[in-house]
Amino acid sequence: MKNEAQFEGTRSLAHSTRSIPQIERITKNAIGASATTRLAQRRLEIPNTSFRLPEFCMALLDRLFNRSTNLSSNQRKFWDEHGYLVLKGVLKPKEIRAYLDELDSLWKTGNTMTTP
Amino acid sequence: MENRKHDDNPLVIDFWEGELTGHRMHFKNAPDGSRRLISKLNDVHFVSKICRNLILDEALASVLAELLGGDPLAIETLTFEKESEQEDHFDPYYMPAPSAEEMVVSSIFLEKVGTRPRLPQKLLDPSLSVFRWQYLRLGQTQRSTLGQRVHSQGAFRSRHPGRNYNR
Repeated sequence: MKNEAQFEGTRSLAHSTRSIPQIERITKNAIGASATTRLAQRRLEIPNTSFRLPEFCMALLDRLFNRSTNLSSNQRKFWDEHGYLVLKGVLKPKEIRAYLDELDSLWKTGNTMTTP
Repeated sequence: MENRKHDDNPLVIDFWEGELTGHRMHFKNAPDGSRRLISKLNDVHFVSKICRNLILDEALASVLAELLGGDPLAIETLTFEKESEQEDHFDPYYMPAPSAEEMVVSSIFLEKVGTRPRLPQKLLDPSLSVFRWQYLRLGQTQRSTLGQRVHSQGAFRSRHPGRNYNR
């Protein structure tokens, strides 16, 4: 397996405008096609029957560069297809309450705002 | 700033109801009692640390950064206390992102939404170079805040300095 420095060229692929076949080709050239399949099974525990190279390439790039992924693959897929996501419970009720109180305060003459 | 009517209050508000329909004015000049009208209060984060904390919440920001592919460069916030009453429109015309894919809108529901809102829809029309968003329809007493973030690999500065994001 080639060292990580040789993957530098693939770093920006995850958010590039290249097509999936182009990303596949570039990634395979960088890491080698045979290594791709082995890594898919070993590191990502994807069975042969469900292995799909484009998805694997994107996941592999995430793993190689420790890029944090806050979204599940299903969420990402939904985002790509529909252009929006519903995330429940992300913000704390306390934060929300504080802002609602702030709005009440904003409307009152003589309020004190939280300008730093 | 300690008073809504202070000269330094930078906030701007739009109204869509009653005699003020279609009017945009400085928040400091909004008549007392106009809160009952359908309105949009712009960029509360300019003056409110609580608002900034909300829209830059770590958990939310990390998801948005992932969708943007990097940290945002500019942010605007819109606070609705009732439904927006806005027609469908193209936000990038007013806050142009350097490229079509680099704009994310987060809609924070401040109160429980009783009816299913119309969420932003990505218009899958390849002839368009920008995303089209349909605005939320909230109930009469429901409040929400939208934080819009623009990201680019290149330099991008909003004409409004308060919208430029610095980590």
